[in-house]
Amino acid sequence: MDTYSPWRGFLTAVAVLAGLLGFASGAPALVGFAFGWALLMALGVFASRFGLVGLVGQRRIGPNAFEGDLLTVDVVLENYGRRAARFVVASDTFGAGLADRQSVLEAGPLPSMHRRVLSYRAFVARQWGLYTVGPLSLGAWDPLGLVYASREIPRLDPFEVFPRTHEIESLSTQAGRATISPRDSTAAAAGQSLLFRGVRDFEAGDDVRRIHWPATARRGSPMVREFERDQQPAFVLFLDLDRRGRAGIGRNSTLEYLVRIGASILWTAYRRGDVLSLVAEGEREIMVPPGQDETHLATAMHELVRVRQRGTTSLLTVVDRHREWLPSGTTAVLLLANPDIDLDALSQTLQGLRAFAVRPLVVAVDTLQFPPVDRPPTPVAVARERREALRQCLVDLDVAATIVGPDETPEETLKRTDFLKNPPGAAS
Amino acid sequence: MATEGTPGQAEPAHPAAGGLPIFTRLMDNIEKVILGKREVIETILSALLARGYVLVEDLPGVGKTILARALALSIQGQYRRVQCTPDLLPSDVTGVSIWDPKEMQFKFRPGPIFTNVLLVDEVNRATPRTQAAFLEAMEERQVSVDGHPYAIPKPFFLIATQNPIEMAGTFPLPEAQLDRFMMRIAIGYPASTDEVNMMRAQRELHPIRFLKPVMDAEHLMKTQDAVRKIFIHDSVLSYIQRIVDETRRHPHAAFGSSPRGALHLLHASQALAAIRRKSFVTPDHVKTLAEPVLAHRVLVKPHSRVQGVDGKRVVEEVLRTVEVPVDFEPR
Repeated sequence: MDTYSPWRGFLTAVAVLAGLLGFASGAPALVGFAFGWALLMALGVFASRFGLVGLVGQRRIGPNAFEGDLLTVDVVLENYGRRAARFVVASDTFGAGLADRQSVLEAGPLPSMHRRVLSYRAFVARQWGLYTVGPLSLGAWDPLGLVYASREIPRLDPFEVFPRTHEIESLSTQAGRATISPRDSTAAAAGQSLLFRGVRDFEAGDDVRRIHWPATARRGSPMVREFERDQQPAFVLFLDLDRRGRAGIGRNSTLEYLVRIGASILWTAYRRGDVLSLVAEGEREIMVPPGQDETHLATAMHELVRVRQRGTTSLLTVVDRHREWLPSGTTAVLLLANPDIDLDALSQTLQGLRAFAVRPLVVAVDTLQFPPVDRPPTPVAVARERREALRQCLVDLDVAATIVGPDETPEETLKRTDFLKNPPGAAS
Repeated sequence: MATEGTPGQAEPAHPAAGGLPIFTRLMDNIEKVILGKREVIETILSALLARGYVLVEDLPGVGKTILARALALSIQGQYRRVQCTPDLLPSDVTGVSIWDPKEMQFKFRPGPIFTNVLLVDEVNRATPRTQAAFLEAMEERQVSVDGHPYAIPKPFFLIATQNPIEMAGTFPLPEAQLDRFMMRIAIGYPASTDEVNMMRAQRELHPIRFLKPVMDAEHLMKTQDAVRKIFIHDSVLSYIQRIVDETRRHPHAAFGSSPRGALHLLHASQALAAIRRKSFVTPDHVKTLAEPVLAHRVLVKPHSRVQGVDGKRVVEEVLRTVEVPVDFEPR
């Protein structure tokens, strides 16, 4: 916002010249004009600052947003002063946006001991990561519009930008049951659910409320209704943060691919209604426990946008460590950052998951195809050989998997219809 | 801006509403047991008079059950309560036809829904099948068992509660069912002085034991009919329509309020006008009730939900943007 008044500059220059001329020529009128102007300016400074007395501003904003979202940021202006406030400008800095500052004018009058909510729209134009919002500043002009005074409220709100997510078609259709609700899945066993299983003879211990009276009337002996048992679908994402998976720079780095693909996988699981969790081991252990609602997804995303590839533990070790607590029927996605791994160990891990009735899926980012940052480049033939060995291993194990390289963007990869549908290279 | 009459000026009661100060007595009566929550009581009474149902979303122990009981006692109606659990069956709510082998015929045993004031506690713990059992009762004011319809006694008022915490193992109400509730409200914790007064009042016996009815069911039904005749100007109708329409266009909203939402807002505003002893509806009445009536009907986009945006926030923003009609004169 422009806080400079061209009239003020011009008239000040004229007043200074008049004052000097007055002193030099001994003309009291010119000296009086200069003095009067100085007095007017002093009053302007006082009036503009006085307009801010008792004014308090605070910002109301959610802690996060996705890339490309349009947000409404509320600025609550409260007047604790004795006079009504007029023409107050609230300026804020939204770090994840392109604009330097966002200003909102409260024309007033805002009476004493009242509050008013001002809003501005902000577009999340930056890429995923951690940003700040603030500081907020309040400003006011004097009644003549000569002097602008402002006061800064030194409060910075952290703000996280999550990657733009895409629903993965193959994941959303797997294990979901379209007949009733995607949140429910049933097991073929008696229990409580929406799915009617049949009618059977009354047995000791059955709830009398479950007696099916029409059937009882027809048979002449008590009959009870039976339903299928509900099973809560669970989902876990294992994220590879081993430092050996580091390669590439900026948008063309393995970290970018890991975070974007991981975010979309978590998003799809959330949309399916799964109980989701995130496990990773970088410079610290990341463990988002199983949960279902949007706050839980936000927690998982919060961890995801903060990860760095600084770990020293292989993903397979992390998976083996957590395998025992995975409930049967879980879908586990292994997001590998390095195809150059021990294939025997991978085979054992995947078979181990299956032994616990966990369905494994693998996404491997082919680090060897990215420009190396902390190691000599791998010869093309060797890289191809390793990728082919990994692909063959996954085909042999019949695990739905995708190997991702830098030749396509994460978005293009996620939109592929065969993403995580079949073993890599197999016909869909 | 619409005015509510000059302060201090005597405000005539609407002749159609027949003795409107009864609402003050009704609110005072309920306030004997729910202290310091006059606004909440006013909102719930608006729903009662507009023949709507209320969903109370709040923490345990803030007085949801007592409020329903006090309401039932005040209107001299029958009160029943259903505690929802995952194994609650639809027949536990509606009633069941039991085969009598001696008389060789089915005999209907009515369920708890056959009452005047029904409290459905923790409705989201019941399975969707049981939740659906309430649907017909709420919309048609009858239940069908074995193909035979049974009418629910009049007046019928349903208060459902759900707990915003401990969502694991619950079945969130589907949008179609949420839409049938006229309002979703929260009672909230009492102020510190009210909490002390509450403890003082209940030191020996609960004051609900001494609550006396202030109107009977028949009087209530007549009042409900009278409330529908409260005047509303076309510009206020248009204001309601614009609010509802804006909820559909809001960038955070996947789906906005339904036309039923607009109707509910209209009827609730008429009721609130009657309670506040006005003979006409003003935009202020609409604004007061817009959030409880519309917020639960706005389906927020999944991305926005992760950001913490909810229906309440959308309605707040809509109220700030929609222009309030200022150019009407009450007839």
